Amino acid sequence: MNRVYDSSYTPLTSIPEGNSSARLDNGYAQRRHGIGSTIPQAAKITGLVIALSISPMTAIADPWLAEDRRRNAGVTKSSYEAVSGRRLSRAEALQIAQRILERAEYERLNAVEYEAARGIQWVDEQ
Amino acid sequence: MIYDFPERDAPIRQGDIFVSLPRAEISLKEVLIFKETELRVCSWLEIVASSEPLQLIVPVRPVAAIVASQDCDAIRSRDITLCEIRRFVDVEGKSKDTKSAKSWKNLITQHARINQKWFYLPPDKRIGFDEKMAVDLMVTLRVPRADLEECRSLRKGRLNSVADEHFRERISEFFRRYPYDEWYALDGEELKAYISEYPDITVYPWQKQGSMDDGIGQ
Repeated sequence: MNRVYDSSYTPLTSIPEGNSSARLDNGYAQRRHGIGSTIPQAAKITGLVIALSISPMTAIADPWLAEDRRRNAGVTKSSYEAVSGRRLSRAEALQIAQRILERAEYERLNAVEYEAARGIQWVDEQ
Repeated sequence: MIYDFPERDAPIRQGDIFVSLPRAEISLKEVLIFKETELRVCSWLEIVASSEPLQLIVPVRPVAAIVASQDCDAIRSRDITLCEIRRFVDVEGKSKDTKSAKSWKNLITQHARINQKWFYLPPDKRIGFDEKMAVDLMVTLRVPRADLEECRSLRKGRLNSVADEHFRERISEFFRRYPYDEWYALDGEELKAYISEYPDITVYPWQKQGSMDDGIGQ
């Protein structure tokens, strides 16, 4: 075993004064353990339960919680009910689909025209 | 011209040119929902609150496209991104009336001076381009990599090493364009000329009447 990691440990009964040597004090975890063991286990659990139960009241509005509630509310309805919109025939749906395609093409071509009008003009207008 | 023709089982790489890949068009105004035996149309805002997956009818058109994903992603990632290839006249509006070789030369070599939204692809019958084409960097599509590997018969070729290097740089330049209001540094007269062409702009405080000076003595 590497001797560097072999440090002897003496249990502390009081927290020592800090020193200015900045030496690594690896007894901190053990001291924490020693202090914690003086609180009864049941009291710790009770404290944790109280803290968790009141935290939503004390915290600011939680967007994730709100989103979750909204989603849960959404799934209690069937999507059939949630979806409003207009009922349509298969032929009408196909027409709309075709229109969506054509409109996309048309709008892209329009954007190209617009860009062409404002880009660098290679012929000097003077 | 500027194309190579890889073996059919060669791995997919950036610059590979495919034909007949599906480009889907989504409209947020008119969403076609298929529910059981019923079809409905509504806006996306009407259904966005539902967290359930929806079955939609989406119009799709087969298009030519070039692999934009980097080689390492084209080997491993779940999806591959491609840019649509369209007729050059449909991508660069100035080319509509271009006839002479000199004018074409000016248009095609703009790459060196301007960060354009397209990448030029010359005609080559072996790859199926009968006329001048261009990669439209604005229009992307995404397909599953494994599925695209199954469809390698749709790959008609790839950019050669010179064109591929250029294409790689063009993609990165395109996506790191710095957006700014190009009129911000124009002086009074220049701004007047600019506004006559684009009247909808908002001028900056230093360009307003009375704020303009020549900077001398500041």
